[in-house]
Amino acid sequence: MIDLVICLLGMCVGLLLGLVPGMHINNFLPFFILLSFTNPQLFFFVIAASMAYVFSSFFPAILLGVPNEDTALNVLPGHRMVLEGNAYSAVMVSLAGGLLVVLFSMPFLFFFLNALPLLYPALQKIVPYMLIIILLFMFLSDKKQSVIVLALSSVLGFLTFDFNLLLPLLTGFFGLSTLLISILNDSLVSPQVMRFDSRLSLTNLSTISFISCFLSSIFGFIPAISSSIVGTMASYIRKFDSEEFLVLLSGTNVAYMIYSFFALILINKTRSGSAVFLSQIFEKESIFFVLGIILLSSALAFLICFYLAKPLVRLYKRLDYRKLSLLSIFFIIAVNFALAGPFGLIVLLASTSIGLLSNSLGVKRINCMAALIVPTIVVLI
Amino acid sequence: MDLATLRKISFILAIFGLLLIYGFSPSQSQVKKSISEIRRDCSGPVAIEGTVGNISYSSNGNVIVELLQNRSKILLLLKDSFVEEGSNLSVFGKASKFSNQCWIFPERVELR
Repeated sequence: MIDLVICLLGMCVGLLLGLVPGMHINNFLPFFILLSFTNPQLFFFVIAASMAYVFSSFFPAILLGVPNEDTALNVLPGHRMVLEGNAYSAVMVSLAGGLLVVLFSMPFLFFFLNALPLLYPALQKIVPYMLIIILLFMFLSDKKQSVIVLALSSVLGFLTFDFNLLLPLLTGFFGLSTLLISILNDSLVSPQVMRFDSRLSLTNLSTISFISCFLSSIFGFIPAISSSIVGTMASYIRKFDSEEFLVLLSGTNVAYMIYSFFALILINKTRSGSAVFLSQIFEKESIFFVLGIILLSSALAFLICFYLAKPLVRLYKRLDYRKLSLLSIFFIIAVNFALAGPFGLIVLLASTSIGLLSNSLGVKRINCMAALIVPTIVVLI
Repeated sequence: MDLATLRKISFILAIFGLLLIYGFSPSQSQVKKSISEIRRDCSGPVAIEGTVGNISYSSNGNVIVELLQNRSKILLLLKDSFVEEGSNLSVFGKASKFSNQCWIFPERVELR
């Protein structure tokens, strides 16, 4: 019973943290240690909080254009749908993708139980080569000018590699630059449609969620390949429209979080901030109990977000978009300053400039992810 | 896509999650055992009742309590000294070997 209460408490905390724009659960993990829980209780609490956090973090990413390191790419298709008046549908398809990934992750667990300890060492050896292929793929599938964005992002990535500056880096590339473009172009937000208006069928949604689950099962255990990069790769393999891409990205985010807990328990490897924190208090826990917490907290987080979606989008609808964007910009700068300091602001300025440059050159913003990929290749080779 | 279907899926997942939590909960698996049974494999979650014997203190301030049951004894590591010799305890926690001895690392200790 006490386990269940702790699980629910963690879920509530995670939900609240996810709704705060620019707040990543990793920034809050050290405070959890202050709770007077036993190690196993803290373990379950963090898992529930992390799962709920992933679901609720779709709101600021889509409605305000404020991403965290995982939802960086959600901002672009999400923002497009918000401008078209489909904010509610954008949030709902993201939530739906996340939920189905939770469902599909169960059969994958049974595969991991046997295969992961055997496959992981082999996968580790080919990581840098996989990253080089991804980088080449990104360059060859875009305009020649993309090399400028790739080069500048890589340099910025190298300069910030030794510091924990992912927030300003990715917020600048994908969040702040998007908001500035919207304001400068005087983007008109259509009136928001408050009903679920999606072209996606359940079969289509399930297929894309399964693709997220499958790709994450390959790349989720590899260092330096974030969920955003997996989304990028999938978009090169198949053309996705805004809704499908949102499902893919949100699904990948959820799958990454789930697999990071599986990786910790099965091969004792950390693949997320939460898993790093949990590794310090990790005792041999039942994988099925952990799966139970993942399922319960995800399902309840989905339901709460499901019912919160309309009031939050309505709240957003009442606000002046230009004012809201300015407020978001101010908030982004304040959060970055609070969490990353003055150096973080310089990085934010640089990454925003690169994001704006990629827009003016007409190349894909995804090229900015070279800031993570290139330094990792250099370190691993 | 129908939102009602998604709601149903989330309810099913929540119920399945609850069942897994109930079935595999560490507190559910803390089966009551005798000291001699615990000492045999000295691992995993356990629940035990016994009487406090000698109490000593480790160099880092932890309290080492001998828990007695019939003629067997096992060591219990506590953070605070809230028990005294002769107290009857119910202990829920994990058994583990350390320095060639079987220890119980408690999650919950109740005075009986």
